[in-house]
Amino acid sequence: MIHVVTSANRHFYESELLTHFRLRHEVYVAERNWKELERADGLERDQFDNQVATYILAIDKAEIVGGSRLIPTTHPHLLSEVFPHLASVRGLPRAADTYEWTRMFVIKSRREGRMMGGQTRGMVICGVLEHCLDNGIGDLTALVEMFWLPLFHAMGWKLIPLGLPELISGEWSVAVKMPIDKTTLESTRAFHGITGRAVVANQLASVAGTAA
Amino acid sequence: MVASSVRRRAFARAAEVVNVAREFGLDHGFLVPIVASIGFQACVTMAGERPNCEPRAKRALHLIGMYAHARCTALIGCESDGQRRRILSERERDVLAWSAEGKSSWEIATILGLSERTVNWHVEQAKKKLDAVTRTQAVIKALRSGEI
Repeated sequence: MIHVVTSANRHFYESELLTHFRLRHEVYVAERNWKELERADGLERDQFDNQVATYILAIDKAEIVGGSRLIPTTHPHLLSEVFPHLASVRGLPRAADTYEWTRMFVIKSRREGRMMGGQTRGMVICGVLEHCLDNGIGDLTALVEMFWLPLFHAMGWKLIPLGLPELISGEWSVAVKMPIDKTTLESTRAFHGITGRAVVANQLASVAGTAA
Repeated sequence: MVASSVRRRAFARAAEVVNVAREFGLDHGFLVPIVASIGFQACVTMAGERPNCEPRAKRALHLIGMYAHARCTALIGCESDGQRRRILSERERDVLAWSAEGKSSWEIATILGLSERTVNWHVEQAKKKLDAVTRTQAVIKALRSGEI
């Protein structure tokens, strides 16, 4: 089940968010060896993990199994502050209805099938889409490794490159804009065999339920 | 054994492609390996007499290759996670692949450890499924549809 955490409700999710930062450290530093993200406290947090960040958490029976992060492009974000040159061909879109999508992960034990990540990755992606469509967000931007393109194309997404690919931490990566709508959500659900909503209807009650 | 025979076949076909390309004046080229989260999927090659292989051009071609592959898989109707819509059985593909290499039924029977009669039966089944009149036509149809 997907929980959406914003500044409005994050006081209910402090322990879940901490676990999620620890899992991010496991995935990005221990597993993928992104040395620049290494932190002594074992929590992978950067300058964009602030009050404007929205977190998409996949929680299964009180266990965090995956997650993702959305940053409004009207605020400083990864592409605007660290990799602006990757959007040098089309320019970096910055608008109230455009959010940057970063840090999508699924814990190792939940990755299998359907282009790796299986149902859990599908739930995280559907969670991101549902949250965006619920809140009038029509465009996502992201810095993606090229090996993700076949999955997104297969899910029926439209990916507009913002510049030429570059080698980042040993992987060819490209900045893209992704216009999203109801059709994107429908084809993504169909691809993963997901029926119905990924985001839980009553977040607070659900967390209370998992804690009990 | 199976993997090595598949690899041998792949190398033989790759060499054939390069030779044919050369006859058409495609001397130099650029190959984009299509790698997805689940691993290697396909190759997109672009070639010509004097291709522009500047780093910037190559990066653009990398991107173009990935989009071209996505579009092709969508058009063919096979999913890019490698699950092609196949109509032939494993054995039928084997006998047609060896036929494509110029092997006779007797040779294929020896290679696959089957009787010649069984090999011919698999060929007949493949011909029926591919709506082909001759063995050669079946091989061509199987190659074209990506069965072998």
